[in-house]
Amino acid sequence: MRGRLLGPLLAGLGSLALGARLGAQAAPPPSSAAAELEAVAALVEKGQLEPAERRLRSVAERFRSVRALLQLSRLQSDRGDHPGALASLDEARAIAPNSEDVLAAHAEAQLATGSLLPAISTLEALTRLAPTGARYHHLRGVALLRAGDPAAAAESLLEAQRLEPDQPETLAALGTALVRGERYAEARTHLLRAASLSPDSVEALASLAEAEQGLGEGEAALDHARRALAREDGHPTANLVVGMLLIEQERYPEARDALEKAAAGDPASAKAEYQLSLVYARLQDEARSRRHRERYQAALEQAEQRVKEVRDWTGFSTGGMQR
Amino acid sequence: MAGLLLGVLPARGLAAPEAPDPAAALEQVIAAAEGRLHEGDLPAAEGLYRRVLFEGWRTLTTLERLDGRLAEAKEALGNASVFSIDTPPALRSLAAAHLEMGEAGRAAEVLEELARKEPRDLETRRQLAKALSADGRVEAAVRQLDEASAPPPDDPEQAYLLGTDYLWLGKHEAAERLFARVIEARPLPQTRVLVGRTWRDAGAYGRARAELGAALREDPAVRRAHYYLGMTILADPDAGPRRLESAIAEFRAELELAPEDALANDQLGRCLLDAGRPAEALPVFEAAVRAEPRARHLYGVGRAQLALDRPAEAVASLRRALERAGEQSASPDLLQKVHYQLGLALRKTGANEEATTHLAEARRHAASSASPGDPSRADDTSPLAALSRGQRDELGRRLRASLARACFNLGVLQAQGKDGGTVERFTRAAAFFERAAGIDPEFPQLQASLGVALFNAGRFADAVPPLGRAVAASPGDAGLRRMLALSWLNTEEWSKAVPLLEADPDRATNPSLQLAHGLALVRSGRAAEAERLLAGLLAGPGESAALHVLLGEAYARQGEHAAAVASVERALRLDPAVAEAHATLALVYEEQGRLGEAEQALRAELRARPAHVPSLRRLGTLLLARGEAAEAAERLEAAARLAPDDHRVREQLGRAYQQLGRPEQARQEFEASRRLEVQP
Repeated sequence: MRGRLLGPLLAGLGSLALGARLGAQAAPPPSSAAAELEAVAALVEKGQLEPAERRLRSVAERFRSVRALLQLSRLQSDRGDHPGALASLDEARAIAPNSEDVLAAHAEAQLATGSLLPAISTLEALTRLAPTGARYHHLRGVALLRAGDPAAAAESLLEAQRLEPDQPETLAALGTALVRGERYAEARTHLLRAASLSPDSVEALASLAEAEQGLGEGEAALDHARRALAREDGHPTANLVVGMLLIEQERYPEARDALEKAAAGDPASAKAEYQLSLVYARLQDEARSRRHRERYQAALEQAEQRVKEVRDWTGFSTGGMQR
Repeated sequence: MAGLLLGVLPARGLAAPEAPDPAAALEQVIAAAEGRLHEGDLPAAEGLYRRVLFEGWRTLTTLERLDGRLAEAKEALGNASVFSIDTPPALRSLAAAHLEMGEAGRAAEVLEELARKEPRDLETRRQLAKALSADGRVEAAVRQLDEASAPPPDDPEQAYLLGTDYLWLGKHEAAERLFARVIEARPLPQTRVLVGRTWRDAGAYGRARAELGAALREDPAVRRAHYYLGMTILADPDAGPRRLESAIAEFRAELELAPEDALANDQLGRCLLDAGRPAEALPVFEAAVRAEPRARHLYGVGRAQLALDRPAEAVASLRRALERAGEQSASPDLLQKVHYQLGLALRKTGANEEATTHLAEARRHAASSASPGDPSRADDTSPLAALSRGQRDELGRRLRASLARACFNLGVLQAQGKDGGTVERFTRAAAFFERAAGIDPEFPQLQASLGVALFNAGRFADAVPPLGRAVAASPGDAGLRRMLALSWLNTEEWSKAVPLLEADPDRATNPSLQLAHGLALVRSGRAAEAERLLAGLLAGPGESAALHVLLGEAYARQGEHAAAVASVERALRLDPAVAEAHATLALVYEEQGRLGEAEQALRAELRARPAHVPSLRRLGTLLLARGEAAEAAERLEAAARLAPDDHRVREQLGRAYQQLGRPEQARQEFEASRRLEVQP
């Protein structure tokens, strides 16, 4: 019975639910800052973005308005001025270092500009400030994954998944992080769920294929990899899986082609380079095999260096967060 | 540097720190936050309110600690940590609070994280070294200082501070190098006095004497050199048999330069008393009192008077000392001494009863000041320590008022903000309102807001108490009454919902409320009334499948099985997917003993609604009665996952485990069931 009547009644109760007034807040006259922001909204509505930006900058300077800075950063970002947007958000953060909106906008701008380590810090602050916000844990996990630390990423993504269990994006990212950490069986569970919730997710299918390949389930892996490639034929993970499975079947030229695509799609992939060194060795092309072995070594060192940089920054250790 | 010298030299132990008013600072931040609200600048307002929470709880940590309420201090510190701000000054302040509370390891963690991100921040490094040292990791502390002082800082103030840090770690050579840079940068006799005093503080008496002597050679009239030489002689265990005489000479020399200096007079008086010269000591203490009527100087006057066998005057002086001690929030050590001397003086005047009281007080303070590892005495340099107990109580009250207000407004912002209205946002809002209620449950609108937030977060059982209080305060608020009624329905307290729904002004026109009313009547054992109500509703234009199901249940509960089945069948014709139709049929079959059909009906209900807990429970119970414990356990486990607080589910699950020969799991379920059953 629990909750059966709630839906229809909540609509009628909405005004009460949102009716609490801020403590001792008198009904104020609209301030000049608020009036100016309304005028800015009208300019944006008319598509007059340059004067809108000028006016926002002026409001921000005169009133130290965080809202104006947030709006300004959005306009800057929309016209591709990401450094400008970041500068506006830096200013906003200096005024309100613990505003959720500011931190969230800052994190997104940092992610958009590829400033992964600062983004991770900002997202860490957000997860402390709003620990039940699954999205912040998700974004932090994705940022850590992009920065090259799948173990730390998995922790964040597990927390996001605990808070919102059925988000396909989170499940796919979590599965990918676990695959990178060679935790294939755990990864498969999450990836199967992601694929069932979002059958079109190429990421989920490709990572699922990689997990199955890791578990020695070649047939299922090939099936999922091919389904991923049917949606995106250059997908590096799916091509990698296909390449590795074709090596097992000793179909070296086809394997080579798939692995070349994998390496082209993800130039930082040590795994693709290693497999290419193997396939060229089987094809008796020693020079290419050696070249890919060298690239593999370089990619491996770069990956280790990236993990070190991330961990120097975050203090993460595989024994847990150093906090 | 001149600022450092002028600021530090006369401050230590000489003058009471200016009484701080952190509450006023927070009130200003609240005013600023509300100004931002008026401008519609919600992100800025949120940031300011959160700042109030961090700074307010940070200050409360110190206040509670100073008053010896360590559990409350820990709780305040926990709250400050939750709302810590991601800026170096705020994180350093948080770490300082952990250090004050004796949590050096936690302080080090906070600072290590900050130092990773701000490696050139000298202040962070210094504080980290202090925390590491307090945590017993001296080598790591020295490493921090070595990294911070390589290359040595150009700023002499920074060099001085780093030098003092090395001193506390016992690294005298490193300190000496840095102090030499300070003296080179500021070649003044005052600089040497500062360095000399620092050596004295660290117990390096030879170096202290050398530096203070050098200061006097540069300027024989430099202030404080003689004073600190006297203090060095007193502290030095190797000062020899003429220790007191030498110190007296130094203090007298200092008083030649500044005859009204209260502290020099006080120290001279103490030496004279220790040397058995109370007649000389008395006018010296009196001079200290004239300069500054502090408790410790009055205590000296009383001691000298008592030594001169003038007990009545001593009693008067020591009473004044106690008065001043109360105003100045004196240390337990001084209080113990004043009470002890007052007890002795009173005994000499024949007031034995009062004397006994003061001597007992002296013993109590002695015990309090001797508590080892008591963080309440860890930082008497906090400016808040200078406040009287009454001032601290008032400050605490104002801080809590600001905290309650900030929590409340943050709760409202969560519920009404950009992404407001989601369960997650209401959960967050409820958490802020709960914090506000923990501080000031009477805060205006708080109980109603807390109830509404909990209700919207789906925490119906938790919503009942605040909604009940809100309804009691505003009995005419129909919205609150309705929400309370729905909370009772959702917690299956059917009979409590009935009067609230009956009084709802919209009941006659709102079909959902009519259904709710009918449900409450049926489930609270008033099936006949429910039947009349529902039949009346069905006669009108509002016929619905749900009404027919409920009417079927009303018939079933009165034993009118045929009518019940007919009503449910009508419901299914209107809407084959209507909720609880099959469950209601199962109820009829159970009452008729047609258990096989009841089972099939429950399975049909679960096919449409796999998460319907009552059907899972009833099916589990039926299967159990038939000895099919494995499937019963499966169904009941599913029910327990969905409703872990339902004691009937846990009880049946325990029985299932018992049948399956899993006694430990059975015992756990029975215990959980009993625990849940007695919970309000």
